[in-house]
Amino acid sequence: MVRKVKPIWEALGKLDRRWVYLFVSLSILFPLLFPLNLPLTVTKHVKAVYDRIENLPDTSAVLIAFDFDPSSIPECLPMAISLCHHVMKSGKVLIVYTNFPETGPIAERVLEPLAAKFQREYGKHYVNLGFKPGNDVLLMALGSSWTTSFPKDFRGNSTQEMEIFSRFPSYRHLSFMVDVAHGATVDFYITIGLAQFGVPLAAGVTAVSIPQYEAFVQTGQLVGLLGGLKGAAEYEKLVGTKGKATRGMDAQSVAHLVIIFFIFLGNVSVVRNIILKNISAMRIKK
Amino acid sequence: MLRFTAIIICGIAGLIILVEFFFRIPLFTKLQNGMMDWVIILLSFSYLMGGISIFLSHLQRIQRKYDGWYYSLVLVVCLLLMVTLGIFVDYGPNGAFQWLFKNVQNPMQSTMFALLAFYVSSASYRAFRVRNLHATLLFVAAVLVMIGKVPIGEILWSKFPEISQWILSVPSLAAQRALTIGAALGLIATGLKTLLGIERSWLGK
Repeated sequence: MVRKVKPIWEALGKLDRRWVYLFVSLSILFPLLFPLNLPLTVTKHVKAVYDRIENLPDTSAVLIAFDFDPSSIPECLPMAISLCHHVMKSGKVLIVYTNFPETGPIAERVLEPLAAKFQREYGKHYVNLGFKPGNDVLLMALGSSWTTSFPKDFRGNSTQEMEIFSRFPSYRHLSFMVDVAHGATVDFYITIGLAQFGVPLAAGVTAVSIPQYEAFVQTGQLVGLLGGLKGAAEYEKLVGTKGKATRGMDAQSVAHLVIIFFIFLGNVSVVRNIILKNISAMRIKK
Repeated sequence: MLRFTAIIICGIAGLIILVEFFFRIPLFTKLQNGMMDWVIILLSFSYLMGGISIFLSHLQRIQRKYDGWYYSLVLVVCLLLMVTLGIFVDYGPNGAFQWLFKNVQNPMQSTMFALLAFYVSSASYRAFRVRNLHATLLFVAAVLVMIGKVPIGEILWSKFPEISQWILSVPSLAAQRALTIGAALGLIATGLKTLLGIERSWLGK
């Protein structure tokens, strides 16, 4: 039995998927172990969010909604950390809540070290309300009052006695909000939070959601947009921290190059066949 | 009669929300706020119902020894463990519930999502073949967006990010907008049909 050897151009188009997995793994692993420190340019959508928070008066309140679950932590958490960092550092009041049952503790782990770093007092300068079911319905209810829908915060404290809610009793009293989301929650902040209550809004979304929300940036309904790990890395650059997003950008860059390389590899035999077909067609014509 | 009553209740509830949205009449605002509280309470109970339902269905799978019943066993044990720890032991930041959540649930969910990167790579390698004009356009757009969205793209050629952004902001957005507007019009039509009692599938059989 003579084993038939495939021509190389055909073999390149039919590589075992495990080769792809191996090279993608290595392309992620190596830049994480040996950073390339690639330069990063801040895009205007991200800068717009930063500028809006920066230019708010110190007496304003900003809501950061942690609308993601652990599956999106790599993309969304660095955004949420940088945004909270910025709000706390700039001296504004920060309100945090989530539409996901798993995310209250994640928010708590973000807020505690930042509060200690910037000496912010719980209940006065920031609060974590945790989770409450309802999504858009909850948001409509928040337009009347925070404390009715959240009689207790994530830590179990009564919200009625918190200074923060005597100054900003409802959603309508916010100056700005950012929804860090991996799903469609941004939609109801646009239709209810912005259209009904008039609270300006920006979003931080996973990379796959960028095309969906780009439309709302163009119409001006979103002040700006943080898209995927790159958006998070750009915000880290603006606030002057070097977090997980910045470190991840090198890995993402190399991984994208590797995927593009494989896409080209897969096309070698296709392009060869097209060229041969054209040549034979030309010969027949002659 | 029961179906008719349900349709009337649905119509009135929808009307209250619509009138409040457009006219802001204090009485309707009050009614709406009350209804919002009901919805939140009902939703809270739906989580409880969901938990009980999943528990019972997996318990049944274990009892009847269906294929893969041992996975159901893992689910039931974990569900009971987390409920017990969360309600009866310690929900606080240093408790066992949070520890398990942080060190088991978080990494597992992140891992599941991270696996997508490998599937997407393999799928891209197989799918983006330049067999015809449409496939070629898709191939070119995909490569340009991928390269333009990472810092290395800008190093290779400063125009890559601009081209990538143009693809997202013009052709991709045009299609996205058409979809969004189409879906919104469909939503309005379905909403009106439900409120007027024409669409009755939500009532069940």
